[in-house]
Amino acid sequence: VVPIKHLERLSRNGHGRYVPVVSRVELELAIGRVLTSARHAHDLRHDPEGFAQESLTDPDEQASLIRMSADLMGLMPGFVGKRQNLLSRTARRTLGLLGHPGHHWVEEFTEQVPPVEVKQSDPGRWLDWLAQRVRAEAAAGRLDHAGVIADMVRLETQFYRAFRTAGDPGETQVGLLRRGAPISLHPSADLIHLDWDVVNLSDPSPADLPRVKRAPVDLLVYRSRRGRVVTESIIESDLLDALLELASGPMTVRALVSMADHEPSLQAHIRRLYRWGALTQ
Amino acid sequence: MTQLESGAPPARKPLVGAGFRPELAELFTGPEGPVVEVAELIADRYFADTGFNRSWELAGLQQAGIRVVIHGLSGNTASVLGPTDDYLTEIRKLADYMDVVAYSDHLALTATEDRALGHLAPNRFDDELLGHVSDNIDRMYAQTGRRPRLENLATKIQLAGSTYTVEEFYLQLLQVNDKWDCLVDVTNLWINSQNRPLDPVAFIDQVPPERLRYIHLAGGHREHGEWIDSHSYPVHDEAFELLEHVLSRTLPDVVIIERDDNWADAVKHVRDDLDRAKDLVHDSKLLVA
Repeated sequence: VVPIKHLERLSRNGHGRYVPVVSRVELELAIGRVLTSARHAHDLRHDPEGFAQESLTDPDEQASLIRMSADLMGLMPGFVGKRQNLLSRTARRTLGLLGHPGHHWVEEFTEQVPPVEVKQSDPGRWLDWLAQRVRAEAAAGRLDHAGVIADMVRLETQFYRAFRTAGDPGETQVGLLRRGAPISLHPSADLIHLDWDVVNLSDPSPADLPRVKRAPVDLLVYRSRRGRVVTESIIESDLLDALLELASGPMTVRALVSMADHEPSLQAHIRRLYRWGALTQ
Repeated sequence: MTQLESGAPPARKPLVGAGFRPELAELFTGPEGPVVEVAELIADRYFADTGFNRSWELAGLQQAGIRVVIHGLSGNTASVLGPTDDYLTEIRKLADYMDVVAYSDHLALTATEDRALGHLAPNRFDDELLGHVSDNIDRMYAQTGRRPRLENLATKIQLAGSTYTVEEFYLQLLQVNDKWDCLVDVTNLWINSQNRPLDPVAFIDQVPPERLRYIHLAGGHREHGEWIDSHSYPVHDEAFELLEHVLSRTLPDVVIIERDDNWADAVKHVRDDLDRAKDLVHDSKLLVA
């Protein structure tokens, strides 16, 4: 039984309903587990008394849980399926490369990690789990083309983070770019290095894996002022140096362009990236 | 009238709009101006510790001058646990920022101590739960500064041990707590009536007219002999008939078309549904009176 965090508030609001509150919160916990986990639903189906005793202290609520077990199992596939669809969409390209094992990983994650509210970002946790899983499988020698798959996870994670980063509605307006004021990378923007050419694999399958070329690239991923996620290969060394400087902290436009070999070109890039929303002042 | 006050329905025309989705953006912020009179935002999508997620969407709606209502998915109203303080703080922040017409949520179980359910679940609907739900509404009212509009649940399955059906519980709650008003999803009512015994007209007639302030309409589909509230097709004729019945009894603040899937032709479908809802509002005898 999970410790109940809100007992003080609930028992205070309930005016002496302390014991029923505990039993009822435990019942809701058990309902939640069965609705969101095929494993818990399986346990309830095959050993209802054991599952109820493990989940609930009150014998009346144990009986209640057993009574509603068929209803909960009728609801469970909809809850689990909806979550798995969302997670699969978030890592669509990675799962495309992985093929069948990827779908098992979605199921494994939904059993291992309980879903969290929107603000805590279930898909973000899933992408972190996926990256870790790819590393572990690669280290154990169980994953072919692990470098390609790891790059795809990195790219999709950056897409997700760029889209999810909070902002101010006022950001949609472009202000004047002042040379003497510090500029920063927008919080949605990040510079990532990929070793493999995965950016253009929009709808991949496992058959694509052997064909992916090694093509190291530095990629700027950010969210535009209108909410579109943009990826840009950074080829010019002046711009790459400037973005690396900005990744470690704000600098003025003047200071940045003074370090460049071709000042006008860098200045034009900075203006463009500022206008599009990758840079902020 | 403030959003905390109860009382008689406003003698003004209901605003007719749709749930804002990027796929439907042209109905809200298109070059020809808004087709909708009000936009409903899924509140949870905008929550963030600082600023807002999808901040550009909020900016676009503000620039288009569209009135806004917010619709929460995780209010956890039908539970012992209730909504978290953080959730209610986020609702208030968004509602204040967008100066919303109303805040609505679901009469459903959406989270437990150790997890979010990610979907709307029924609970064991009984008198014990009724007391806790009433406490939850008091907190929602106090912490959001608004009378929540609570939506009736679409569900075929009702948990064994319940002493009320979903609809009986909803109506009983109106007697127990007067700090909330009704978001009646007429499609949910119709779909429930197809999947189990329920008289949707009788349900509407039992809701006090002054507390019926918000309407949802959507289109579902039939799967394995059962109707699913999938928000993926044009609104059913039967749901429009129920809207017409509502409008013969009262004028809600807002009427919202919901569409969440099957995007081919969705803009056209929602535009047609909006026209039909506007016509029904226009023809309401209460409005003419």
